[in-house]
Amino acid sequence: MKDTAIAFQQEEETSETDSPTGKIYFVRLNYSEKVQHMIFMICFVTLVITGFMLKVPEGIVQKLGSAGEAVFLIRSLLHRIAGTVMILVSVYHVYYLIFKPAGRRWLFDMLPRFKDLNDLVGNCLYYFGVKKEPPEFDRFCYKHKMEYGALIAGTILMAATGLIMWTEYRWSKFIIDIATVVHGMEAILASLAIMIWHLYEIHLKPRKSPIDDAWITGVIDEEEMKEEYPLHYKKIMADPKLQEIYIKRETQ
Amino acid sequence: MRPIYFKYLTFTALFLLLHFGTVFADSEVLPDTENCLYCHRYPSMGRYDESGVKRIFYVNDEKFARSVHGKLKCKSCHAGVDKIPHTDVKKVDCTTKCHIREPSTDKEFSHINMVQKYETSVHGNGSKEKPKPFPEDLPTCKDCHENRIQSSVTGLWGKSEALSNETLARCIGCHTQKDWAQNFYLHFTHRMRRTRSQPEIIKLCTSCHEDSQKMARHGLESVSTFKDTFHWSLVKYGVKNAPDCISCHVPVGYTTHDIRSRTDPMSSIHTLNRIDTCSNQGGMQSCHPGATAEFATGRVHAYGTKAQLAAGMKVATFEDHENFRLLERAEVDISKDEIFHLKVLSLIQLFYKVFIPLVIGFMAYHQWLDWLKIIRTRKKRR
Amino acid sequence: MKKKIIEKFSSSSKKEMTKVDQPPNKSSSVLIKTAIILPLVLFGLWLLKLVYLPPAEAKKTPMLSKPSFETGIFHRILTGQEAVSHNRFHMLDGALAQPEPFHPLCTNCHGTYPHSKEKKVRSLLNFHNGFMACAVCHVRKAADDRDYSFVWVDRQTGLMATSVKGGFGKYPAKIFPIQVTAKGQKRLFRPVSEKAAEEFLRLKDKFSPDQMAQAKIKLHEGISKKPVFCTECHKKDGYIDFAELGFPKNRIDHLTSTEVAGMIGNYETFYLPEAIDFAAD
Repeated sequence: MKDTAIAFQQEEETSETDSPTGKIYFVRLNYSEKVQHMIFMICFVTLVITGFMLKVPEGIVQKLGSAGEAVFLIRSLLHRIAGTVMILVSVYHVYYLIFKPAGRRWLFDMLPRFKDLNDLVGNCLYYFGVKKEPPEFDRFCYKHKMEYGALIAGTILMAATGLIMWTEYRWSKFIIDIATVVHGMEAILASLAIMIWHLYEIHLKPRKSPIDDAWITGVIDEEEMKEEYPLHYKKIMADPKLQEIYIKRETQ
Repeated sequence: MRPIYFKYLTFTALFLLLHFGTVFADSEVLPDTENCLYCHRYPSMGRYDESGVKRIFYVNDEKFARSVHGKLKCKSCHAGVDKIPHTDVKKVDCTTKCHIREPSTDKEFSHINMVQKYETSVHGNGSKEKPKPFPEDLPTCKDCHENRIQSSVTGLWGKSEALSNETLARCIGCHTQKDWAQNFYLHFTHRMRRTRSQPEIIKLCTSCHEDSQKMARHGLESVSTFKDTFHWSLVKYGVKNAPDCISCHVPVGYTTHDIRSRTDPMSSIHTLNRIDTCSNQGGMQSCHPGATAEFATGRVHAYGTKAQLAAGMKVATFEDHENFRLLERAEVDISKDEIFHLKVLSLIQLFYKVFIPLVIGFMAYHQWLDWLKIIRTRKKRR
Repeated sequence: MKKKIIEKFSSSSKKEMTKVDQPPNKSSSVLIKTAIILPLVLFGLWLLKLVYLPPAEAKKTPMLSKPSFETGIFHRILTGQEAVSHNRFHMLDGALAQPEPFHPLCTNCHGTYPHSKEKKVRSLLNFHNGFMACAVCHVRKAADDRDYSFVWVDRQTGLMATSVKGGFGKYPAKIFPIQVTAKGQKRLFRPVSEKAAEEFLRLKDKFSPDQMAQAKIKLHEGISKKPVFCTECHKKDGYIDFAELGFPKNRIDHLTSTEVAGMIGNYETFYLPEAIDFAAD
């Protein structure tokens, strides 16, 4: 993965460099975060597919014929494996947030502030054309914070209800029923939210075509940084310590 | 006329006797000693009866010979068929003695044990003092049973035919009559597995139990709510040992002919027997081996109309008597706990039904605005 | 080596990405986007459907409704749900369910079990239907008509066959009457011409009851008033030449035996009316 990332950048370098010092890139996700995102994403997709397979109408399922049983058993196994891995990644993420400096920085930047509400209103006004300029965003804007919050809440709910259903014989039927309903509805909410809120940012957004690669490379270029996170950009440029952390400089 | 007819019969019998060994062993087709196949072997024999139902009088002799009743004569069941045309024919009665000796008692066999048990079960006609309403809705033998073809156990070690051959070879050492041994073997192994697959069982039971009007006449609701359960998902994918109707309603130690109401302590789904039923200890599949008492009490099928009626979430129309019984039963059957549970569950569902469009709507609107803005600014730049 | 390939690939894709605004790449980018987004949109719609319109399998049927037109007896006949949906006890085989592309025209209206009037014999007559066209019995040949005979006609192809395999009503063909034309060609004999039947079916909804009665008489003009009776075939040297149809000798002996004839005699004496007059309706 890292090789690819560097390859990307090197190519960039040779074809587009115009400053002798080398182009600079801004780190959005460090290595650990990239890996966390990757594992979480794979788990999420697996869970969505294997989970909603239960809801596939009878007529389509019957086309599987005798393979149905194997498909179902693999589905069940994958769902449980993906669920377990997702919970483990989430637990590791909590550890990361508390015990790693980069994690603590992440947590601090991610904390909701009054500015976020301001930004939300400001950004909407910008969309409506009332304001000429969008608000200046820091490292994480309100969109990220909202999604992160939803992710935490969703993961906790899904993990809890999932574990209840996994250990069904310990609970009363009523608890299992509630878990089933919540697990199903939350899954629909999460899938839709990811598709609209998150995938828009990397696929559909016009400037990111056909797909944003920050989740693989972990970095964005200066131009994008200035445009999307101007406040953070200014902060980094003003602080050499932050520069060390967030700036990757390519050498020939 | 008579003597010639008789002569022919004797000739046929003699002919058959001479060739008995070969005919029987090779084709396994029952000799038509009663001459019924004379007409009944023609496929298009049949008619529409007075109520417009298609009656097929065709009997495939080969299939019949291989069936569980294959060693019986036609008249053993079709009593009263003595004349052509068949007048004074009685309806087939499975409790009649069918001239086959049951080896354990050496008495003539009949299905009367099953029928008697069945009559006291939930599907039976009820007692004489208190007969059930709408007896025409209640299933009779033929509604669930057909003359199945004997088949030995399948799926063991993957080669059931080889298994049968080897086992049978051991029998034939002592029981030298191969036909008899084979028949006995099939009789035994045919019952070593369920003849109907899960989807077939569900289709059979739901052919009545999903008929909401028929069910309402007896104060029951349609069981389509079964399809809201995880149990159904397993069946849908064709998982072996997936739980169907009889997995819970007739677990190990119970018989299909003695299904009882869930309020009856003899029922497998009565609260007292629930732990055993859910864990299915002693069965081929231990479903929920660690089932606690708490787990084993509660509604397995999703809440249906009855619960909705009891909870007042659905207003019943008192238009006819049939629905009235459903209402009546709903008030008795659905406990306060269940009403509470239903209300909580529907509240959660309602919450999500409102919450999802709010959240997703906001998101979609926001992203749409974002997209529009980007497109517009780009146009301006050009 | 691998690295180089990656570099090559990534360079080209990276270029695309950086020059989004240029038109040549735009259409391909739109295409890729659609390919990604379309399934997601469909998936999303399906999810919404799961929330608001639970799938049909989990749908609670309205239980407190009165029987509607949809569940009426005639609708049930139409959809193949019989009035009483009893399973058949004796296992059936494929012999009944076989489609029959080439069949006597009569069955289009009269069905598979056309005989219903004579209660005692209707099923016996009906089973002949499985291997004989209606016209075999219901159109009587003139005693001296030498150009009129019977032949097997394949159910699938409609071609004439000299001999067929099978037995006891299970044949791949049916016996039809044929007529040999002046040129020596064999032609299926149809008492009701296909053209006439088609015209009748096309117009039948427009007829008034009186016109209908008229039309029916006209349509059945070619049908003999008195059908060929059982004993006319089930006797030695009867109406149909079984040998010509390829029946083996022992089967012919059986069909024409006193046993069969005797049984029919029994019927004739006790259960069949003197004469069946088909001109009545």
